[in-house]
Amino acid sequence: MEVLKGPNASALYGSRGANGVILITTKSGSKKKGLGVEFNSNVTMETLNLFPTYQNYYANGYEETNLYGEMVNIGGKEYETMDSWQGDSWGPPLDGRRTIVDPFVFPADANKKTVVLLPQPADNVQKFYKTGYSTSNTLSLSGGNEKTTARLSIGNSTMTGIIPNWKTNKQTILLKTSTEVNSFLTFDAKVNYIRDEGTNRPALGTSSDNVTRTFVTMGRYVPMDFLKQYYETTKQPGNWPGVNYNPYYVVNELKNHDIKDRIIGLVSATVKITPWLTLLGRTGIDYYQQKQDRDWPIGSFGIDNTKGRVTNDVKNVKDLNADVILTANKPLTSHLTLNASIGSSILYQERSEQLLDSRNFKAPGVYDVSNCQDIRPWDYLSKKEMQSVYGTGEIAYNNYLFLDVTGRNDWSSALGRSDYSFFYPSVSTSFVFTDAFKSLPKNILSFGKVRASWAQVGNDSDPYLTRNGYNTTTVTYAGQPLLSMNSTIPALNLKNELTTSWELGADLRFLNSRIGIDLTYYDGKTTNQILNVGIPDASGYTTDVINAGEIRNHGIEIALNLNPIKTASGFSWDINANYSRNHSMVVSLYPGIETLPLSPGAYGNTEARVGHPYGDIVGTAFQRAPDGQLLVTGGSYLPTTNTQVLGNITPKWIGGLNNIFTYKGFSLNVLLDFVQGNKIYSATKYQEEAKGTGVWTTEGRRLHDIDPATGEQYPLVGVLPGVMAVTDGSGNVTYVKNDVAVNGQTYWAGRAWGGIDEEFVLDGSYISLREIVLSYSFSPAIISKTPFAGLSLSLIGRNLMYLEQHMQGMGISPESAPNTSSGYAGQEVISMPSTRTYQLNLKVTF
Amino acid sequence: MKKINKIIIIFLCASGLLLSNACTKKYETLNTDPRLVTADLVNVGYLLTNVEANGIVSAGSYGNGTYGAYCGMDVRSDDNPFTNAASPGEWDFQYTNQLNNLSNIIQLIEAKTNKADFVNHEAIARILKAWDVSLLTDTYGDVPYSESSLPIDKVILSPKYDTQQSIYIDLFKELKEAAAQLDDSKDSYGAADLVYNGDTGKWRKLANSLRLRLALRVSYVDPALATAQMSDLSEADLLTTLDDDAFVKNNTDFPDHLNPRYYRIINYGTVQESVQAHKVLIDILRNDGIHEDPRIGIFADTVTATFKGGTSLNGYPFPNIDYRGQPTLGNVTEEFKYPWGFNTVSQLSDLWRAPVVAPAIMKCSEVYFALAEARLRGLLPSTGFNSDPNFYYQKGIDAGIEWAKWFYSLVAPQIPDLMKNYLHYEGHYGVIGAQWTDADVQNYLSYKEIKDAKITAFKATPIYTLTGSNDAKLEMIMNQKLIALYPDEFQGWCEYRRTGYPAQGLSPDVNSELKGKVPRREKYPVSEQTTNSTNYNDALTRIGVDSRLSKFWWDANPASPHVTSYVYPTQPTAYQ
Repeated sequence: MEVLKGPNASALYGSRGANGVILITTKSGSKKKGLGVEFNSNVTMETLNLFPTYQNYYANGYEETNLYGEMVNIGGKEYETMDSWQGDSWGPPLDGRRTIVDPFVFPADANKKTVVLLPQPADNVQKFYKTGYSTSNTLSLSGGNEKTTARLSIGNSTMTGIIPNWKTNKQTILLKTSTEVNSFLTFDAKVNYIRDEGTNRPALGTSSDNVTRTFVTMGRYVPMDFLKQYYETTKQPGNWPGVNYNPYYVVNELKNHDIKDRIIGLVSATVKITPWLTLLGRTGIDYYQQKQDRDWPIGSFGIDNTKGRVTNDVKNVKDLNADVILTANKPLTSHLTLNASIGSSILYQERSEQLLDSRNFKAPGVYDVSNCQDIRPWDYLSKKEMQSVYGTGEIAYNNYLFLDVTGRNDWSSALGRSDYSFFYPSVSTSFVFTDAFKSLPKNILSFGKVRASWAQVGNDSDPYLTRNGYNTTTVTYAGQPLLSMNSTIPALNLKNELTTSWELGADLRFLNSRIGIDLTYYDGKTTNQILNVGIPDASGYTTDVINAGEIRNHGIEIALNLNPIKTASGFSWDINANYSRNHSMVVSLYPGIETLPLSPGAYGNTEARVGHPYGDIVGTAFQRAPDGQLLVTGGSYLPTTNTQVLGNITPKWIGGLNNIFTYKGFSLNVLLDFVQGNKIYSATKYQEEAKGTGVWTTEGRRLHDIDPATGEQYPLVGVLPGVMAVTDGSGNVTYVKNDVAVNGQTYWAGRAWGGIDEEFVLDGSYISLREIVLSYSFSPAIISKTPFAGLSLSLIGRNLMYLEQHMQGMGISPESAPNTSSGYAGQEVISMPSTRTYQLNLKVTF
Repeated sequence: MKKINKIIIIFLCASGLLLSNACTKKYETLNTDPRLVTADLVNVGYLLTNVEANGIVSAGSYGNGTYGAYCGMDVRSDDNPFTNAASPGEWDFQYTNQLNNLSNIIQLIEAKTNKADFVNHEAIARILKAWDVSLLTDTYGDVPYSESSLPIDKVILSPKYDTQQSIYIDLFKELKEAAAQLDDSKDSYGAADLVYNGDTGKWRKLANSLRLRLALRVSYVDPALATAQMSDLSEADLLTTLDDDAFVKNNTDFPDHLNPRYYRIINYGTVQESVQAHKVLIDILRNDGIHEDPRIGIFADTVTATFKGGTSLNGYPFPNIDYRGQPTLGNVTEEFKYPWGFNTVSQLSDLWRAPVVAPAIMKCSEVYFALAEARLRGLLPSTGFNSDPNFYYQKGIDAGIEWAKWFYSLVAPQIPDLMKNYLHYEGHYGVIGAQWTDADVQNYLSYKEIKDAKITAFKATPIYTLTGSNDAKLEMIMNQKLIALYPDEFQGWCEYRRTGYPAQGLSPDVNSELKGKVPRREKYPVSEQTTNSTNYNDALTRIGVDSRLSKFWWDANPASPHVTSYVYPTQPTAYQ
């Protein structure tokens, strides 16, 4: 595997390489005699690492006192009922002083049983999750002769997840051959088949089927055992106070199954025209089909599902690639060597999807389109083609001074009618001065290279951004067809994006390579970006496709390799550290547009703002007094009227530190990951504060609501820290310490419902103990009497713990918010609990 | 070497050929979404159906309790009525769902060579657009209008805000021109028009009736304009019978087309909204306490037995009456909460949760009350209309009762399935599992049905005849108009802002952002501040502060709002 960083290294790979290229070269067969056999097997156990924490002292309800239910007479005494809409956990204390009508009963027992309000077991939710297991086995056979080599590898892996009924399995087959037909011609072929199968993959994010989300908002007076018993007895979810959706029903009845078949094939022919001139022609396909079926039984929640529903979705993704490259490699003089190539390629991409959404079962339990009375098909098809010509040239002087030049022209069908074509060049040079100046003392400076480069990379867009029209739908109204205008203004003259960057670097090794340091400084800007800009709805359109803006990225990357100890007895300690720091800056967007929403997700907004780093979290803050103290109005915090920048999702720096200890056959790796200086928006905090389930939300609530001696209510205790504004008769405002006591619901939930975004923006910095690997390779001396050529065992622990994190004890992972440009950038949206894994790995070669 | 050169030349030629511009000829086809319907292929009827389905049925004139709390129709217990938050919903919906498509119909027809064949299609789109624009400006005040929804090659990315006055003048012109443009002899939408099946006569009546509505709306700020707009009308030009009413029945074909109140029950498996009948509505319907309005059971359910008479759990006495409404309180302190909503007052009647109801643009009963007011205030022309406001007042009540009977006949057959299969989940009907039996449902329905004897008794009471000063008569008209408008909370709120009737007590929610005052408009969407700031700030120079309490142009009646002498109770006073 080889990582080609940045645009400089990847001009040859076209716009797909604008963000760098990871080149994976799979192993080939070997020419050595006999059969090579390699077997790799591992077993992995996955357990909860962090788990959301919950308060366990306040029941479902509101205002700490009332349940607001009707009174029901049981045995001559009136008891309160807890109604099914009592969703939040702001109710009375679970202190054993209240007896209510038991809401968690089978219908036959409705209004007949009472229950004393006492806490549920603290781990009631955690027990729902299981330990996950997975196994993986790979067998590789390789062999060959003078002319032909081949390698066959087959693999199988299975997994059972931490959520009940979740399973996946995967099979891979890889065959790679190479044949030298004669000294003139070589054929290579590769076929890779990958099958991925998933069963009952859990729903994530904001889906109501996401059980983790259900738990975060679930009333704290909910007996999990009863939910399970109710589901198992009736096979129905039931409707319970504080429960969005019975999780036992969700994981057992809402089934899904998916299969992805992927074929990657490549054939190539290399013609050696002369010893220095080679012609390569190759064509490849990367195709997969993914089928996904989902089932909803009759009675499941949601208006689309409740009469029974089944969806069958088929996606087809196809990339066809063909290219020809002519390469010359020739010494020009005794000092100069030329390495040049020209090529052309064509890439065709096709994406299609067909969805059958079928509802309203004729007979229960038959999950097939033929059993449905309401069938809605949907389809999608997109096509794109890119043609390219490119050339590269390298001149090497005495193999220590290099000059590289590349150029590429693409024609993309996704761009505007007269703008299909775009060109981008690069030039780079490097100088290995330790080779040039042989007199340098090798034991002090073992290796030294400096490099400099300048490059451009063009990029096109998704297809279909250049024409406007109307959206049609299979939905009708009483049989009448429906049609609406597309609200996006297309870019008739859509042009390519262009990234221009330059880079300086040095690779230095000292003391016989015991110390190595690699430094890179880069500075680049992306201009003419293809943006979907939100425009005022009042224009009649919502989105405008434009070429605009400039974003600058510059930063440094440092990799340090140390070998502090190396003894004759075979002990060695290596340290590999890397550090990178990127500064981004939105230089401009589009005249009149100062901000561009990146992920207007369910919570908070992430934006690109002119004059700011990319990825600001924008929202309302707390209202504050002029001196900065929090302002309390009528016992509550209020949000600012205008939104402001609350943080940035991009880390200030990221790094890794890997310590490797080896002694004879043993090796121990300890890897730490560092991410520092980014902010995230936490939906878990929002929901737990809105619903009163968070462990921290007990602050500001009464320990007991009613004094048993007098029957009177104790006074409220929730006095928010901060000041109140007091206006005197002449209109002067002074600020005095807040003394208004409110109930816990007002104390906490107001920040969520009131929309004070600042409350939910957390420091996303962390240090993770990412991986510890202990492995042992048996020495050839020991296994020489066995059939094995090599034997090694390793024990791997991953994501073991956070040495630093700032999730305020909520039991969530700072990594649950992606900081890339995905749909929920910078937003933690209540995904799966964070897990750690332990793996035992065995590798045998024969 | 010669051979090699040849190979190189062939290779270069091949790649040159392959990649010359000739190869991009098919790119335009390749980059066109095969599913795209282009302008030349559009049937304007499909656009109209979509606009009507979304604008009348899905968005619906059925509020969710927010505006109901301001005009006295109903209250949602989880709502915060006195917040000053921006409300972008209507803005986004009108501009990106309704006005864009309606403008586009007009633009497509105007571009046709045979546009004379499409006069009715164009006129109907103009009438609907005028209605939609009135909803928009009556929500926000000054809004982008003349620079909005232009053709795609003329689009203005930062449209200016037109004044409400200039918008109203244009709406009057549009409605008048469109009514004149309608040609009964020419082709129309037919079934694509969900409201009137393309009936040009009825559309003409609707255009005139909308003009009457809007004329009344400006009658306090510019009486001359109101009078001028009514001067060319006569009773026969307006919606006068139930058959004229402009509405669309919900359809069970797709979830979006169901009554949203039913949709939410099915979607979430429970009644998500706890909506109480408003004290204002109930107090009007209870009449003298003996001869209650025969429609009362259509709008509200009776108070549950637990809370009828006797003493509640916290020691508050409850009056022994069948119906008790919920005032608009907001988040008031404990002592004002009695008897705080949820189960202790009348709930919205379950009849309104049937899957198919009939959301309306306008009903004839509203027209009658508009005429009663216009006649009372001397705005109507001397000919073409009856000279007695009481004539129209009684016609309005009669039409309202007729409509309620029709509504009952529409929803009653749907109620057994609803109650037996869904509503047993809901809290206030008893805890989970308490099922409605057939007999329960039949009892419920027969209690709701409007009986002729009750109508007769009701009409014999003083409420059926306008009496007292002109202002007292106006209050009687507006009280009954509220019931006629039900459940159109938005129109109720407009009428409350315009006239201050029906009067309701001010909420003591002094800690709220609006200090317990009923908002006069909605704030502009926050996005306007960043994406259209110049024009937004220009609009602010006219409205002053972008607050829900700022009054816009037509909101000029110095008497609005009327505050009743009603005092909110402190415990433990009983109140009805």
